[in-house]
Amino acid sequence: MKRGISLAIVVCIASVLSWYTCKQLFALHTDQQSSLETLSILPTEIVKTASFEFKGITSDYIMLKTMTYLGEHLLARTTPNMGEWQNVYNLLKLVIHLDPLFWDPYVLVETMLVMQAGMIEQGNELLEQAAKVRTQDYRPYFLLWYNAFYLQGDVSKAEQYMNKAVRRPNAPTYLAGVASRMSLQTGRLESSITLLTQLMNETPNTTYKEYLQKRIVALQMLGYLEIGVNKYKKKFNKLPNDLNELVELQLIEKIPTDPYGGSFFLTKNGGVYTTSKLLQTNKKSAQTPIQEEKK
Amino acid sequence: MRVIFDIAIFTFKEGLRHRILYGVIIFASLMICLSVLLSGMFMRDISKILLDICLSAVSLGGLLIPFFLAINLIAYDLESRTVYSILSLPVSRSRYILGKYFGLCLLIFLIMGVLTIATFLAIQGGVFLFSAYYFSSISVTSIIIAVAVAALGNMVLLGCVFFWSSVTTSSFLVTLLTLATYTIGQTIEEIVRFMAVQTPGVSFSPIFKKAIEVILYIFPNLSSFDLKQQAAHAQIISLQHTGLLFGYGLAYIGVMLGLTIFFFSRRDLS
Repeated sequence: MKRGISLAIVVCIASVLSWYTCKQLFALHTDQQSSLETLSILPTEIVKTASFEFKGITSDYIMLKTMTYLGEHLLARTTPNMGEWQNVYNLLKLVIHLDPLFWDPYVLVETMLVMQAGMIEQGNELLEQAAKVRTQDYRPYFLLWYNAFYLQGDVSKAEQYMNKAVRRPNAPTYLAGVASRMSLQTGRLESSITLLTQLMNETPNTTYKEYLQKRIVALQMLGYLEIGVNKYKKKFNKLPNDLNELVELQLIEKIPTDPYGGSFFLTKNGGVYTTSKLLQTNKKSAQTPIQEEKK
Repeated sequence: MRVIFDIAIFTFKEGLRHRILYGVIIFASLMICLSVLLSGMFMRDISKILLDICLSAVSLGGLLIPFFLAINLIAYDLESRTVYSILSLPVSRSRYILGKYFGLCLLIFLIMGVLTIATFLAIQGGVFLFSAYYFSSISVTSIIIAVAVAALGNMVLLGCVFFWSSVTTSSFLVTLLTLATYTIGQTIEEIVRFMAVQTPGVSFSPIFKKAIEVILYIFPNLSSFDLKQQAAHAQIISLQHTGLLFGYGLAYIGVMLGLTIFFFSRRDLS
């Protein structure tokens, strides 16, 4: 009986000691967690080789560690310094090296490294890699398009990325629309119509064909009106007050009806656009990729 | 043939007596819970994370047989002199080796089979907890091929255990040699590829390069039996790729068992 009580006391003391030391160790590791330096300096080839047949799960572990680190910064409302961002970049590069098809690190590259740390070049390098390995996925090119168009202001490059994105098998229908609207803003109407016509010829989906056909018609109308405006500019060396003037002067036969239900108008810089913004009335197709993904 | 079958069943039952099945079921249950909970911590590739964990567990479960059970059972047979009672019957040494090998293979199939079922249960758990959307791209065929190929990889390693057991009497040495074989087999292809790339500031002597290439062909290339990533990303594993792996695996097992029978037949058991 006495022996049993002594044993129970020993077990209780050991349990309390174990609980306390575990808590202390957790606190100690929390302090160490703030630095990812040790992990980030590991050579990628060594980690890959040493992971044996467990490369996938190793990449998951490093990814989780990186996410936890960034999450802690978000909770503390602090921003990593440039050295720390470099560590995050090294770790994400390591995760991608271990499992190039893993999509989550690319999302973190875009949302954290590119958008928050401003490491656009490094981010683009990894996204280009994603585009190479994820051959059935439009998203790497879509993100590259975003970076080039909005962050770098390189419209021509953005257009190339978007053209590649819309050709991917899983590209949503609205992407072609985004591509054509972007091209329109750069004055490359013809290339938009060519792209859409090509896409229309490639797809067996009748609904998608109709969607593209409608857009092509709208773009052709914009082109027709732009030709009229150019004729007016040549003749009078100034911009018309509105599109009705073109009809009155018989430079165009009539103002066509926008298939999207909007009205065509003259922009301040002499371009022609429509109040519908060439957007589908169907809400689903007008969603962003992230919205659609969440759904 | 009948003798080989009987020894195989005997070895299988002997393995079950080690209560591995209970251990495997507990391991499988923990794996289901852990994979479902951990995968929820990620942003998008939930099915990938879940399959990474589950398929790694399947591989790990299969590895238990060559590393622990096989080495112990062979050493036990020799130390407890069970082998004499079997060989005193009209059973040739080659049949004894083949029977023992196939019995242990059955145990590999059993463990990996149970863990594969647990993987599919974990997928169902994931669908229930998160959404079917995240699991829509899963390829059951790829998962089954990846598990079958991993089982073949474990059978190759088991062949190596038999070979090392036939050339040495120490079970500790067999464990060390098997560990070395596994490490080399899992890393050698990466090393050869790394050496083929001209890295600035890094150079290797031609003799060293040649030696590494020779090792690639002598030791089993176990990393090629790892198709877990393809399965996790629902990639199509071609028939040609699978056929080549099975061809390589079966040929290597043939070589290992042939050498084992050769050495074991000449071994002085007295």
